[in-house]
Amino acid sequence: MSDERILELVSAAADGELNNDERVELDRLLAASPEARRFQSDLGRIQSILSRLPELDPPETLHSRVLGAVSLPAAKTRQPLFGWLRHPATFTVLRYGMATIAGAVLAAALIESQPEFGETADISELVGTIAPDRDRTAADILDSYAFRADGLESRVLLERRNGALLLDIQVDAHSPVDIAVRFAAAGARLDALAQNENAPEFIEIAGQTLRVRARGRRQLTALLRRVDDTASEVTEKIELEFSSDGKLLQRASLTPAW
Amino acid sequence: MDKDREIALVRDCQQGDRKALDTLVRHFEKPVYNAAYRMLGNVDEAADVTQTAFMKIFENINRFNPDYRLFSWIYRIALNEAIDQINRRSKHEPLDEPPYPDRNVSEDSAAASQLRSDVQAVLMEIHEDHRTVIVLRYFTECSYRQIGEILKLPEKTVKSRLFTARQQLKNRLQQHGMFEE
Repeated sequence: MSDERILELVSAAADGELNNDERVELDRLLAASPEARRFQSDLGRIQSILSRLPELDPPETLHSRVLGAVSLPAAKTRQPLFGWLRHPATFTVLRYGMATIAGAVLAAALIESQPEFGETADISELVGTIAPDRDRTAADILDSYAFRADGLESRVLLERRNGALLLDIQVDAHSPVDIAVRFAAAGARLDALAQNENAPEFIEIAGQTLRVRARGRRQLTALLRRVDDTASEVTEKIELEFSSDGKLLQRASLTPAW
Repeated sequence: MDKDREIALVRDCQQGDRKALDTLVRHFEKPVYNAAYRMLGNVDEAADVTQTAFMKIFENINRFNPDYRLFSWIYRIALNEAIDQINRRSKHEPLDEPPYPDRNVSEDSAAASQLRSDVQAVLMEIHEDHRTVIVLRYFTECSYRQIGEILKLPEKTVKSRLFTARQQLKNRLQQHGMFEE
């Protein structure tokens, strides 16, 4: 009888995974092998020690927290689409300043033609919760990140919709929060921004870094474009940083399986 | 919850039924919270991870594959979220005290509480890959097949990882004087 078989049978017995034949085999083994009996005893003691850790009751508020945080497909609300703002090399958008010149500047900057991310993509109704429910159902979520801290809640969703790659950033902040999104190692680049009435007050794009300052409930959706289909997905990350008053609050990354 | 019930609940959630959502959360929040706590050793983080896991679950509810069991999918998301949380935080954060009532405790129950805290601390010392299989086996009582489904590992790998995890746990318990030869 090999040591490996001893370990396998004794482990399976401890885990309730033995069939009748194996049970007979194990009984013979235990009768003949002190080593098997010692191993069986060890597993029993581990079981006994771990069984001292009781099942815990979750905090009383957890259920309502979860229900308050989650939403179902049909609960999504449609928000007005302001338009797509194409990504030039570097630009800064001040929401209210932009509003005053919206007619002139945005009319020129909005994507009138289809972006270059793919011939089949349709971006007319793609944006996060902007999309109607039937589109949401078809959404292919590549990765997401969410967190809640004192006075700050955010959810970032990377999804493929109708062939387009979208990064949807939602934030609800009591005080101004700065969000930096870096695409440099993501195998994708920022192609356009969707503007809506809930857009953050300040948006800046420098190279492949998107910087946003937001307060209150804000949403921003970015249209991405893959630049290297052969890149290893392991190294592809969209890096996120949330900070306030210069203090780093959260750092995370999205690792999409393209 | 049997598989038919799971599928019906998921279908109702996909159709936007918040009562189904409530039922699903109520059924799974405690085991998910417990698994998260055993992974993290911190009640606040366990609650945050549970919340985030459910957010992801419902964001992706339309992608649930009914060929698999719902609990496998939910545990997979929750454990991945717990591991992400471990990776995010400082390696040297102190372990919080477990949430056991300590008022008017007798000497015996104080000792028992200390022992629970010590065992959880030992659990936190082993690698998260090994802690994951320990949590699934001992705290969620999953079978090899179920652990394999949750972690997307072959059963053979599950057995071998569980063996290594137990060895590591035993060694750590011995180092802390909780497992005498």
